[in-house]
Amino acid sequence: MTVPPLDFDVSLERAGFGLRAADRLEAGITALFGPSGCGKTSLLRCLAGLEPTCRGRIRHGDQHWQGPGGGVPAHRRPVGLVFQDTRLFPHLSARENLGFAERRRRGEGPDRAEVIDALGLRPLLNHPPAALSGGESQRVALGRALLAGPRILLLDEPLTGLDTARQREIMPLLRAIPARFGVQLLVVTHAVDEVLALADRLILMRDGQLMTQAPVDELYSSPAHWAMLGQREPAVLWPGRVVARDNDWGLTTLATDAGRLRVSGVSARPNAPVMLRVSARDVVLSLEPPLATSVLNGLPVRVEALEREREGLVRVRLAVGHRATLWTRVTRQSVAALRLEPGRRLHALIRPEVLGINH
Amino acid sequence: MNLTPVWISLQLAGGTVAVLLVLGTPLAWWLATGRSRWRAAVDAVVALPLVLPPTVLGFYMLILLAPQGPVGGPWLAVTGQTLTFSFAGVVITSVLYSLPFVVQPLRDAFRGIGPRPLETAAMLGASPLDAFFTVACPLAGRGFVTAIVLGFAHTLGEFGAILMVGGSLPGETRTVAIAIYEHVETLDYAAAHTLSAGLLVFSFLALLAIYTLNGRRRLGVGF
Repeated sequence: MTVPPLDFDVSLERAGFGLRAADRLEAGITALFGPSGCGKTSLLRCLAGLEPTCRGRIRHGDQHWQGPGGGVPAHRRPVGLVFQDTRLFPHLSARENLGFAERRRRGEGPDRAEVIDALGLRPLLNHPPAALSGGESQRVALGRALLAGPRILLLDEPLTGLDTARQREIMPLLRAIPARFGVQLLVVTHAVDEVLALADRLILMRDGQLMTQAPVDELYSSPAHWAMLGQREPAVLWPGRVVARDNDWGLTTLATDAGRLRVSGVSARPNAPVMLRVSARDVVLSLEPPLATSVLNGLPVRVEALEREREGLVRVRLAVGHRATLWTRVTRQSVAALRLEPGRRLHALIRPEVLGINH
Repeated sequence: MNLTPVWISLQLAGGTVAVLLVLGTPLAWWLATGRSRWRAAVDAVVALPLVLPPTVLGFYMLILLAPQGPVGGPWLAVTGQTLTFSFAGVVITSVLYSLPFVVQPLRDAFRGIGPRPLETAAMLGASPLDAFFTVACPLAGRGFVTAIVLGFAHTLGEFGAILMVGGSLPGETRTVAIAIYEHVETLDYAAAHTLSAGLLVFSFLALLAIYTLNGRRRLGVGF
């Protein structure tokens, strides 16, 4: 099932607030990230057709949702919106909430039993919404939206208000939606961790404007966006793939642009994609290849740039492997002791953090 | 004792509520959700029967429904019947007289639902009309019960406007309230007592049902 892109160029004027946003959404999961009140929810509502005063054009493949080419009212757009407060119908049970959506589906949609099983809804079906917990309500709302058969699913802060355990429960379910149900996702969030664990692409938004869109690893690894992402420490994301598993030691070998890395705690099938984060504090520089240490991963690196930070500290940008970048922080004393300068070759001991296994 | 007035009253109240549900529900929806600048004016017109003496309403209705009147004339031409001093004329009068008692609870119930459930329904593929019947009306269920009971009970208690438009024709327009008046006029206190007590008990039970229901049920969970 191919998912056509969603092109939009919309604006919305409100007292003391203006939204002006143009972009193209491709298949997969896109995260819309920005501070509270920057217009993320308003943009979702415009795309869904819930803002009567929204101006501009929206095109989904060759279907004009809004603009000179025609208009499609909200209830006929193949779009689903899961609201932050779930909004299950209180006069219907969980099962009837699902049925409401299924009876009104536009075009093809997923099988009811498949959705119920994928989201673990079977034990909840006979309950009224008032008897469901926050996480359970979110799962029912997600299932209800899927059963309506959307091509694009808009999720407004789907994990906010859930405890960490519930978030871990829902995260993989969201992650699996595009491949499993042929649906494209746009997820609004103000939590970086959610972006990293979920999204393929990231849109940064501020003051009602879209700043930039790029693959998550690219955008996250670029120093220009660290401030907006609320990141205090330099860090990079490396997408990788499982190449081998050593069951004796419980270690998995991953192939990344930086080279091969061994990590624990990943039990995915070969070729499964994995996202790694390497923060500056998890990188140690050494003149010798790391033989006599407890760190598993050592990679040859080349110093690219030195940047003075605060008193006594220097930020070092390193080139590693095939076009990968790495950051670390050292003291000025270490710069002198290791004679760090652009072009200098040495070894980095790194401890990558596994962020998520993409199914 | 002659129980025909009871039957007339029940028919009148039932018919009035039925007409008001059909006409008043869309009106209440429009008042609750519309953005028209005429809304305040229509709200005021709907509330007029609350403050007007029934004789004022009855007087104007008499003029409207008279065989030479703007409504009564065409009606006579089409049906061959006059509206004044007829059951149909009394129903039309009652519809106006009880309008606020049906429209206002419905309007407040619709307003209480807010736009969110309807947005949600639209996102699930429901057209506005579909969402109105499958989401808004069920969520406004308590408002409907209040509207039906108040509209019914208030029509039973109507006196002045009916007397002016319908007179007191036995078996046609003589309702319980008018029959009581006639019984008192003819000094038949026993019959007046029976009918009065019946109306009193029924009205009390109807209001008790509403207040019990409103106190117990709290709709709106999750919204």
